[in-house]
Amino acid sequence: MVRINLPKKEVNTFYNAADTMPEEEYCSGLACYVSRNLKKEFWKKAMAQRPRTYCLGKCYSSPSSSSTHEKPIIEVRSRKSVIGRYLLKGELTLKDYISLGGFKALEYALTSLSKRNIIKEVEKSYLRGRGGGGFPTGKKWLLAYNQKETERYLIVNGDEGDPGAYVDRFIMEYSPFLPIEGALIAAHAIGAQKVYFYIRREYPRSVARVREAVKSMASFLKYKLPKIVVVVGKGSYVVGEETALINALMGRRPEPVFKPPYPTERGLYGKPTVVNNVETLSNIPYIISNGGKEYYELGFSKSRGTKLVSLNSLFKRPGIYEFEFGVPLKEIVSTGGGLKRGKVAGLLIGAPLSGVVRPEEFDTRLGYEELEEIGSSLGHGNIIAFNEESPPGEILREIVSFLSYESCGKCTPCRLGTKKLEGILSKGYILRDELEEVYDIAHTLVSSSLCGLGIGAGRVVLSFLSKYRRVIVHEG
Amino acid sequence: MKVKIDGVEYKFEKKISILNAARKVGIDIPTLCYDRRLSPNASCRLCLVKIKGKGIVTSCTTPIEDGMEVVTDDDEVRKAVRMNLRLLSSRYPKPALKKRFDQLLERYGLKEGGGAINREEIDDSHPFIYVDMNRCINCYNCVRVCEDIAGRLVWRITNRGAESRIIAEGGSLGRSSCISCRACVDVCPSGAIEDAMLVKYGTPERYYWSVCNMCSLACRVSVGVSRNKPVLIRPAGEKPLDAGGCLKGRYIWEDAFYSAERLHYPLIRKGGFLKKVDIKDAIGIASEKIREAVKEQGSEGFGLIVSGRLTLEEYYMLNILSREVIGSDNVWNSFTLCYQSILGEFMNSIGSIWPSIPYKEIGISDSIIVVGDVDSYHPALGDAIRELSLQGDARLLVVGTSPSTEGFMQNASDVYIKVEKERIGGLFNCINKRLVEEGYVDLDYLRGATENLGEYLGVINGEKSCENNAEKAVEMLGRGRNVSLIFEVEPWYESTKELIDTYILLNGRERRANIVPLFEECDLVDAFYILGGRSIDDLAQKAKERELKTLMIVGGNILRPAIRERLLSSLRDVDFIIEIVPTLDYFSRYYASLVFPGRTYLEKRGHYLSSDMTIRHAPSSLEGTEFQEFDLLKGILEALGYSVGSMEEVWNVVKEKIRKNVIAKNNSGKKYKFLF
Repeated sequence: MVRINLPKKEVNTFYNAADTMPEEEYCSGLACYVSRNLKKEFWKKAMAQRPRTYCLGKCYSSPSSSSTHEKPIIEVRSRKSVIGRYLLKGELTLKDYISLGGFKALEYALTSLSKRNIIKEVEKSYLRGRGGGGFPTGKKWLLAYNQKETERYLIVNGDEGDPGAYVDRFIMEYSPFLPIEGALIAAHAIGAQKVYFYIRREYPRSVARVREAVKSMASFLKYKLPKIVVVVGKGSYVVGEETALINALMGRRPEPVFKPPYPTERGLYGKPTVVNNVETLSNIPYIISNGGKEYYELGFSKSRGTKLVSLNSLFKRPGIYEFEFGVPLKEIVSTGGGLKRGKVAGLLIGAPLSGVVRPEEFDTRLGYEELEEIGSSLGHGNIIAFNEESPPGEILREIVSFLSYESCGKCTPCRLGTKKLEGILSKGYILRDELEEVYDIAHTLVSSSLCGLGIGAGRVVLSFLSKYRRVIVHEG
Repeated sequence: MKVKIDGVEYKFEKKISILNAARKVGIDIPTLCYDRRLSPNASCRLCLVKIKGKGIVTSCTTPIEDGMEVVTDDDEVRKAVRMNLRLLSSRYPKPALKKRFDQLLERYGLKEGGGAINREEIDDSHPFIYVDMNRCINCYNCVRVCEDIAGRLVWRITNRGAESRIIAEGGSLGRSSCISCRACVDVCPSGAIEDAMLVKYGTPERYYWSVCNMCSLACRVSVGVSRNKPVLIRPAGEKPLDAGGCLKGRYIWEDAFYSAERLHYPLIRKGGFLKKVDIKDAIGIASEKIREAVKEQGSEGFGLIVSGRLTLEEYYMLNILSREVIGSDNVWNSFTLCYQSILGEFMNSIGSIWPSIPYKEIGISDSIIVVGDVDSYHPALGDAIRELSLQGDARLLVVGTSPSTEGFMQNASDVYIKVEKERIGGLFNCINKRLVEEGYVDLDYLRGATENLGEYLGVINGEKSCENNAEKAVEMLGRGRNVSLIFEVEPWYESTKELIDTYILLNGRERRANIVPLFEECDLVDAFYILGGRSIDDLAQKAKERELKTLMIVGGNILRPAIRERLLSSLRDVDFIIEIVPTLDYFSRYYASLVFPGRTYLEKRGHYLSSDMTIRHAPSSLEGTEFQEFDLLKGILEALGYSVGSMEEVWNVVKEKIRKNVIAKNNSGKKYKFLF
């Protein structure tokens, strides 16, 4: 049995914002870096700020600070809207949500479907994790469902820390009932007695809205439902990794743990636990109401349904767009209306743990495997376009510096390898003499890191080197 | 399960980790954060291997699978391991200590270590543990062993990423709540946490063999000496079963040897205070008091409590004193004081309280049951069992009772059953019932080998509530062909009966069962073996009737929790108490009238008997320790007019006696008897 609640004083040192943060925070995230020339003074302040703040979820108006309050464009571009339609009218009240058909799916699931059949519908839909992992959600639920242990937990992962990503933020702010409804269906299906809703600290409005929603629902729903506990982060990117998140909830250092055993077998407090991303769960009400088959008809290949993508502020029309999987990247770029400054030099999709996409690869269609094939990945559907003002070497420097800063320090290659790379890349390019070492470290990161952060760090470096080697590597 | 490792196919019985599988067949995979006492952490990323079709994985966390092909060392693996080692060495000072990490650096031809030494990372505030975090490689072993095994949280991790550091609670180890168990020293692979003794006195100039008497295993150990002071205990062998490399063995001796309460001369109580007395006078007083007691009350006036682990030669001398010189049978030892009732159960059912096999033979078991906290009381054995399980030699069933044992054996077990102490008997009753019902029992054999099988089968019944657990256990035990039942017996145990029955039931023509009872509280079966002993009731009775005038206590540390109160109240009624003890303990301080300084095992010559009846020889000792308990007892015997020969002559007599005993035991041909 794992010991819970380790001494707070030391555990808190893990987080960059457990104690105090400046009143006004400026973001050092990648989306803010590529658009730094839009508001130079913001970027300057971000660079000077200690501790750093990474990603406030305002990448549509970056460079951003905690005191700007613009809103992104939100549009539905798919044949059917699964999630987007709940986001079009700004912040919904419980009444608004019900008038849009909210909680019908929950009621149906509770009264007319067996637990096994709920899971079957989700399996049929071929919904996959939207937090970047892409693991089939139904399969995950089934794994927990089949456990012998009856004490089980559901965790809603609202720790959306990827640069350029703000989809979860607006789901939580505009329509917090949607992921909650999904979570309650999930908890019911897997037999979880308690739901933990973990939200990162950089999203204060999301925290407030989800808390409000949990409270307002209490009197509305007449069924006996699991308790929902809202937990607020303290500033750490790696907490988004499910095993780290579980450690965080147990009051331990949020370090990832090797898998297997997977959380579905041994998770929170050593009990079967399902960790689902906010957007993943937001698909559930649609799937239950309309059937898994109807959901499966959206999308293509092994990527089914719709995906909300978020475009960064360099686009003329930055915001959240609901697309069906299979849409070519170039269509997404043109939906964004081109760039405010310069031309698209490349895209960072699923940053920071995935490779870069060059314009000649824009025919690629949006999908998990399709993006993997070009060395990128779907991530949160976060798309950052950059122009020629941001040289690939410097982008790589920003990414590696972020990953080194956010590395938990548990495993050797990630703790020391990313630090070493950060040092080499600090000049914004790599010298030919350093190249062999950079490759060695990157390969070691990929082959021997404990979790996705270290592996991703290695992959990013290799991807940039394979696509921009000539500009990144400088002769002596 | 067939697994190909580096091109050679091996067969394994159990799904164990690739790391343990490789180590079992003699392939050493480098590790820093792996320790068989801890569950894997998978953080150092050195135990990398390549699985065909799957790529590089950490071998400590990946179990073997049938048909798996593993490559432990190819270019890609080697490169990654080397890079990780290089990264680790970048901040490490010059390798010098020959610790595991230094050895790995050498093996991979890395000499970079040359990180600057920061004074602030050195903490010498703790009397036994020297901390130099400049050498720390963040394996977290200290943090984990402190949390999981010592049950404390002294070591903590602060910050994250490349900034993460290990610090002691409150920033200074000396002021922390450290209990000096030094498990962290034991698991540290890089010398960041080190024995202060080694730092203070330097590495040993020479080593000598001795026998650790901190538990009944009596392991051979090697004692490192610097400036004629013992500074280090090393295991005698590599393999756990003859190692003695456990924490208890490594460190508990210091508590006696270097105690501030160490006695250097005899003390006599005068007017309530203990005063120094010359050794010759003290021997005179002792013999006089023994004589007086016998004069007043006859042979019943004198008694002997034997405690501590003594050498066989010493037991022999005490036997002469009590039985031959005085003619008294008044001998108690802490085993019989604690376990008299349980002793009866063993004797009635299987006719012995000794393990049915030497400990080493546990190694050929295919199934092992462990009940109770073997890891705390007999850690070297616990370690051996763990390794047998982890390396796939045996399946392990752990019945855990106290919270402290969780995570100990449990991590290495195949089946773990958690049960309250009072319910152990019930559980084994269920197991016994099921073993019979499912046909795992060789009834024909048992009919001949036991006295009362029919009767037992008539009454055996298990509770419903433990059936789930029993099912898991029976499934494992039933398949076993050589099953060892190892259990810590507590003085207040009420479940030995059922456990003994399980042992008897598991015997058969196709299956061999072994029983290894361990006596956690009063671990002194050797004293019992040589001297016999009486119960606490008997002692209390004699003391109350004021029959007992003079009592001699040899050893010390007999105030076991189970008998503490009764013993103390009884001994108030004894006129004169003589104690031979290495350090001034509670007893000598408040009860004894005459105290002789004893020797710790590090200073003793002689032979020890381990509780599995293995004789171990401690040949040499430190300088300046020529006068030993043997000589003291010889002096007392001579003062009483009885002369004995040299230690060597005594040993020859003892040896002959033990030989005869063993033959008698083997020829007894007693039938087993079920208890219910």
